[in-house]
Amino acid sequence: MMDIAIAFDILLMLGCLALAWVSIFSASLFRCIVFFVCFGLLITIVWAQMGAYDVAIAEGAIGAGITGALLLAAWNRIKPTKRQDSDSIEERR
Amino acid sequence: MNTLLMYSVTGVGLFAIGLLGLIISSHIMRKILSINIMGVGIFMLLIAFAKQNGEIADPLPHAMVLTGIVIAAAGTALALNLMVRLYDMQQKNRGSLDDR
Amino acid sequence: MFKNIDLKYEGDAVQQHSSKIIALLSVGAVLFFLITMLIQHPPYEGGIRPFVENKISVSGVTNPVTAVLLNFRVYDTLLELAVLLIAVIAVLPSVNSNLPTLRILSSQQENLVVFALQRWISPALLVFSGYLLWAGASQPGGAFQAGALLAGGCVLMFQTGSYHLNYTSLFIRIALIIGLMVFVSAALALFITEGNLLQYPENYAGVLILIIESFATFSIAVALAALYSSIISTSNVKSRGR
Repeated sequence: MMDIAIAFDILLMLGCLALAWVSIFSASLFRCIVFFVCFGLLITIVWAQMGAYDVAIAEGAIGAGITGALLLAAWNRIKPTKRQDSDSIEERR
Repeated sequence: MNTLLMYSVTGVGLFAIGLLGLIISSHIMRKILSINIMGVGIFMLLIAFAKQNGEIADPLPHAMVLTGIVIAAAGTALALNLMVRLYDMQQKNRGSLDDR
Repeated sequence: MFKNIDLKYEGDAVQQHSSKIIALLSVGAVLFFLITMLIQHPPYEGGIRPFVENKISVSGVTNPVTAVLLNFRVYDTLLELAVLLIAVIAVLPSVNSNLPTLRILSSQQENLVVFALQRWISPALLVFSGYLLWAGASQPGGAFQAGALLAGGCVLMFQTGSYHLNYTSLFIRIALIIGLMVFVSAALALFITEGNLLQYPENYAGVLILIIESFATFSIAVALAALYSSIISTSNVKSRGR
């Protein structure tokens, strides 16, 4: 019953669900972004598996590439720098 | 249960995970990630429906998903810009944003 | 749980309220309902594929997805370019600066690997995106894929930190709108000659699609690059003074 193609599909689906979960509920924000880029790459394989090759190329370029770069650039803007990290910790206590 | 039905269920599952993340998360960037994951879930549902009748897929959902991917990227960029602007204002005021 | 907008970096992933149990239960109920509806749904019949197969010989291209995107549902593509342009307008810098269009900063390279990669791979990216644009007529490809690849090349260019594009200069403004302008002027010209907006004549459909796609590729690449460079830190611009 377990054809190799069906096993591959089930592994892909479980991987997508697991990556989506850790992409939102991880402890560190940087890890969330990295898992989101991995999720985008797995979704590219899912589109290719379902026969949507145009969508796969576009998802690989835009979904994983451009969105990943945007998220990392935004993360770079909002992470605390070293100087202000110690100040804000002093203020919060 | 054929694989396309399983892919549809996965799409719905992704939508639910995104919805849960959108409601529960506290940081704005996690909410933006959740919205993107909801979008990908809907796209998976559309493309799974497109392949259900025959080997050659229906090209209309493919075109819709292609449009959707570009618009989702543009919307994410706008949301991230707003988040960065919010952070800069918060740093300037050094306070929180609740009405006190 | 929607009340406080949080940007604390070291905060918890999830709010520590008791209402997250209610949220979990309600999302679980929604998921159960959707999966039940999905399993009971009759299989999706019909669709647009028979119509596309009948009419693809007059559409000018062979790839059905490109035919649907740029011939049968071409209004959606036109409005999508407009929406992308609106998103770019919302993030453009609001102050016109008199810097030249492309400035090559000769700062010292702190990351030689990115710099070398960008210089070696950019010609290949250009050629490959042109190939994707050309091959979109008969194989998977098309305008959006080629534009996204070019935008990826621009992102790599900005990552080296030695290029700076001024998005309020005349050249970049024209580059942002030229995709939409070519589309709209083609629509108006076809309205005058054929009587319907964007009704391609049968002999020239392929050529017209290629022309519209080329300008759309350029526009999409510049728009996505503008969206990216509105977020990266502009500390080197601010120090130049206005």
